[in-house]
Amino acid sequence: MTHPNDLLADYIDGTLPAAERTRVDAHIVSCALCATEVADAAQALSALSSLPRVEVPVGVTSSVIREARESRGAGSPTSTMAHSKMRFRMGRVYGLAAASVAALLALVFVLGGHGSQVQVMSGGSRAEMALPAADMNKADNEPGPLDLDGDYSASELSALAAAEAQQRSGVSVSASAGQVAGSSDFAPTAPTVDAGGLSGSSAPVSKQSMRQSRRQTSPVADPGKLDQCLQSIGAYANGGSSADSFEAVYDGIPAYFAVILEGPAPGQPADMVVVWVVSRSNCDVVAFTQQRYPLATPSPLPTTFLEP
Amino acid sequence: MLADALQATDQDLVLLFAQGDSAAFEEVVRRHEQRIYNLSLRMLGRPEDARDATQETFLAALRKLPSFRGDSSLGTWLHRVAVNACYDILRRRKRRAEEGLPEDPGAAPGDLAESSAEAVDVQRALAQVPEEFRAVLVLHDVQDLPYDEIAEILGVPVGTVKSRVHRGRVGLARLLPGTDGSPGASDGKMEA
Repeated sequence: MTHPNDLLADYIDGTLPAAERTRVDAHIVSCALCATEVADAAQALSALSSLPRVEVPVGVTSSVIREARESRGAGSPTSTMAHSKMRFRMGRVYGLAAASVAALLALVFVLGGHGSQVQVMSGGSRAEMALPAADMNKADNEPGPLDLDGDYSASELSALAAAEAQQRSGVSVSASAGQVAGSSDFAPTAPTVDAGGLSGSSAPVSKQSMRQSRRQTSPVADPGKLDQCLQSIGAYANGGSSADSFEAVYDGIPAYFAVILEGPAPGQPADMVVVWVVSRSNCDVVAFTQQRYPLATPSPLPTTFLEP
Repeated sequence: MLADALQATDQDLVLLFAQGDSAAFEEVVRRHEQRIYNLSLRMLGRPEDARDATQETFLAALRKLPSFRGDSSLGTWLHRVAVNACYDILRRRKRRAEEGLPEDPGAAPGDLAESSAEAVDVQRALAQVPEEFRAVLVLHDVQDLPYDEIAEILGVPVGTVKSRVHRGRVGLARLLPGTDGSPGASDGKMEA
């Protein structure tokens, strides 16, 4: 009988199916070589698995994190956005009046309106609603940001904004939308949203298909109320005008989605798509994202994923 | 750390990072640094080398993450980067030895920062196992990764991983003190 070498790793692991296990057992009885090997391998496994897990010494990754912060840059639009995002969230936590939140958001537009990438600001519904345990379970069970449950998520919102911007600029969408489509979780039937920066191609994006094939959306039942909401949160503060609106669910919250086009200042031509997501029940801002157009040159990303 | 980062999947973090959120990168580091550091420490034996390999891994992640497309899990990908960083360091070490430059003290006991004498013995034996066997032993028997994921990390068939694990275990056992092998004198009888 030949030595069952290819089975011995699983045999030691204890993961060999019963029939093969019996075969190895029988072989070992009559083969001193394999019996010794099995004993040695078991000893090695026991020694290796007894190695303690070592804590990472302090400071090992701090230089990398510093570099991440710097490259995402002090003074760059993104860092301004990240900073504002936290303040935005704090505004929600401490229940600031809608007006001051709106003022803050207007500031965000001024400071952060010049990036070429999609920015998402989330109201942090998960973190700030009083259902931490239930919500955490939900998060664990979700397959990721591209779940096909009918809800919009932050990444899908940015894809939507990118698609809206592309429609108005004829330029390929920025990287964030491409990442949405490039992800392996994406359903094969989903429409192609491709990023020139990632794959080199620039397939057109159909906003309609994005919205309707995967998400349960419906027309706004009470346009007057939506308009009031948008006024109250300052969505028109920059002189923008509404281009589209619909109702859908964002991260579990029934919401209005409003697409606003606005320029750098009131009276100037629009060059920015802003998508507001506001709660249908109380007009709270749940999330928003913005995309400038015509899009600036996409950030230089490698055309393919490099093998390490 | 932003509260929602605690509930985000790795994939969410990659997307957030691509959108310019450096906090998302910090969360990636926080989640994976211990596994990557331990992998490096077991592969290399020395804390200062493990430190270098960990830093190189996350630097590579910082550069390449925006183009990460999720064909494999982030953890798998980071492990692959880390194994390659370890191989690089081992190669550098070898070159230095060949050029007659002063060799590092090697797996000197004081160098291992191990909590027990047994762990010191195991780490010392591990350092004498040829690299490709050491890698699978560390990934499977120390890090508890499944065979198929190791195959993906190393880019070799699952059968090869299993055969290396077995040969590696047998070889390692014979390098441990108290067995018939003589510790310190590697007989190197490991063939895939």
